[in-house]
Amino acid sequence: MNSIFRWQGLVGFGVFIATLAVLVALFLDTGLRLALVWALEDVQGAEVNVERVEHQWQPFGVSVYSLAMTDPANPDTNQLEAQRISATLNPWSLLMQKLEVDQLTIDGLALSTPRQSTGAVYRPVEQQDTVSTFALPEGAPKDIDSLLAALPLQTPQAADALKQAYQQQQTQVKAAYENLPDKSRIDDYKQKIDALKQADTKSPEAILAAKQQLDDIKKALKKDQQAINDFKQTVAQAREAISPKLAALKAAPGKDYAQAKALAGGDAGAITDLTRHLFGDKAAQTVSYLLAATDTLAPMLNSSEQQQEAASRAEGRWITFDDASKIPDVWIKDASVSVILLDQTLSTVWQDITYQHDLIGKPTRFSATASTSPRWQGIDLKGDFAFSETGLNGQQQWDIKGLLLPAAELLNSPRLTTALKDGLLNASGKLSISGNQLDGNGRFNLPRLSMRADTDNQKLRVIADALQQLTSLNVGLNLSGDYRTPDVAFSSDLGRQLASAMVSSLSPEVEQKLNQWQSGLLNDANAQSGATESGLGQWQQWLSNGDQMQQQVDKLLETQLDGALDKQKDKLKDKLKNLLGKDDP
Amino acid sequence: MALLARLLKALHSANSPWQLALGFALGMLLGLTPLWRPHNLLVLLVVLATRVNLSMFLLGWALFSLLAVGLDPVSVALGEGLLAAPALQGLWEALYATGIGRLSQFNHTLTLGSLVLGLVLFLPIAVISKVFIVRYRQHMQRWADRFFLVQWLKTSRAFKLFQTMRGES
Repeated sequence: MNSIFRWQGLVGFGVFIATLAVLVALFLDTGLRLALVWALEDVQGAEVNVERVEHQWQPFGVSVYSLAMTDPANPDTNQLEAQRISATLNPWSLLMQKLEVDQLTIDGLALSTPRQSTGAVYRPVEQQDTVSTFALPEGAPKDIDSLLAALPLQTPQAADALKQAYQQQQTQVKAAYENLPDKSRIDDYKQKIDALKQADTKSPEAILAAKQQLDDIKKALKKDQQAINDFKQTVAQAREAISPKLAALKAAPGKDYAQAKALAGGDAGAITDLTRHLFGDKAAQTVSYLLAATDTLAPMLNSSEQQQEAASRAEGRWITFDDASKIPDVWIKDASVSVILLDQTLSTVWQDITYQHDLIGKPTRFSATASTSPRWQGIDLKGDFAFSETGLNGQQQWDIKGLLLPAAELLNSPRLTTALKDGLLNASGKLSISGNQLDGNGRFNLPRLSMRADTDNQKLRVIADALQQLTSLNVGLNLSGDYRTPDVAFSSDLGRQLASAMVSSLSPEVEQKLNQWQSGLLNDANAQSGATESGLGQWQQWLSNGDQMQQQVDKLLETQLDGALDKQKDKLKDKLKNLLGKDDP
Repeated sequence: MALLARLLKALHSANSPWQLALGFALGMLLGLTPLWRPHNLLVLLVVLATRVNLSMFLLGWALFSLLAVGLDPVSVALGEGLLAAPALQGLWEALYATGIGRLSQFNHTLTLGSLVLGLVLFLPIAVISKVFIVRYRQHMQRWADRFFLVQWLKTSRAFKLFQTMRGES
């Protein structure tokens, strides 16, 4: 044995492994902290701070303390902060490059918190529009003539569209009408058929000849019948094409007038969008909390999958096989997350967080339920989501009762500032996601509302006064589009009320000019619609002619030579009777 | 120079030809495959725990690490072919589903290809090395001892340093 083994070498190897193990044990926490910070900074593109990381062997787990992730768009703020993240893991799954977490606990999770010092940004993000860019209605009165001259009008466009469509359809209708048989030809057929009916045909040959003539006439009649049907169909299609354009032209002057009037009073688009600009950010923030599961977690899970694919090509290639273990690459079986919201703690519970739901056959479920607290009367949020071959699918509902809104600045423009003094929010809604597409709606009701609005501008005073008088507001929410870039639309009657208030402040001179201008628009529209309607009247007359012809043709087509045939049959019968009578005894 | 000194020292040592040849073949295995792979820990264990010649092991490692630069495409192609072979899919899938399998990083084309290439070449390299060493010792050792360069190397600091080391046995 001595000649084969080198005991010193074996001991050296043991010492080497033991040293390695000791070093790992000593520096594992530091290594984990550095690796975590490096990985998160790579994903976040901004400074990430972790106070310390601790591990435990039995059960195997890791705890992360004081995690703060800088918001790359606003380095003075943490996008996410957590006091403690603790996870117990399956170490054997780690060997298979899988993250199987039996229990994840996150305490003190808070979004958008101020940082102690400005965080470094490694990958700057494009700044999104903020309320300060909101285009408020112009304060200075506009020159009404130049405003009307620059206004993109619907009426001329609608008139041109109708004219073009009418001319095109008129050519087709006229061609079809000219293809109709003339009256003399129908009369000629009638005379020929009458002659055939009245002819005293005696021999079977003569009857057959008459029948042949009738068949020829019917063939020609059928051709004409087809031409009539084609004409009627052409007219129907032409009417169908013309009708919506005619209706659009009739409605266009009214719309142009409303637009001009609103613009004369201010910026109609801006006013009607005021709800979004005033409450959009706050509502969007609330929506982002509500959609945290799908809006934040799902893309994160998805990107981790993509990163694995992208990272698999260096020297050589990593090949993935069908995983017989049926364990997802990332699987957090149970998670409890305490979210700090409005200085209160909201507990949320999660099950089966993964992006490979087909492997576990269950969706990711989440719920957040909170009873009465100083900040709210009740919060109930629950839902689920799952990735499949068709994309993300899921659903969720939320019901928030009596949420006390903190005082907050809503709009800070050089000409108008608004702030929420006090408010009570009730929100409810539901959302479904099918094949990555959102379909949801909800309501934000503010039964108690108090606002402050300041402006130096005389014209904007109307808006400021209206806002200060608001005591309640109902805002509708509509969610659509891809879940990764959701379209969030808000609706309320606030914009309409404010636009109406501004329009009512128009001077009599401007009103008079607008009325004159509207009359001109109406005249232009009536000229084109009148010409079109006159043409349609002619088509109607042609249709009547066509109907009459069709009736005549249909009647002629029903003609049979039964009389002549019957006459010959009777003659034959009489002859037979005579013959039989002679032969009788 | 150091490599040459290492080679001469090993060839002229009292170690058996098999000790030298196996050391060289194990060095080849380590040199051909990517260094930071778990199987290399096993190679290291064998090298340290058995009386193979360490100089020849280091020589084999250095030489085949250089050769691996040119052989890597062959290894990748071999690994690619093995991992894609329909007949072996069951084996790979079963291995992929185990922790040991994942830890071995067998599903990396270069790792598998170079390991298989190294294992296939192991015996031929060991046998050829052994034959070469035997032939060298029979026919060339006495002549080489007289050669000026060997004399010079034997008196050089490097050689003396090697003489003081006891790594070979």
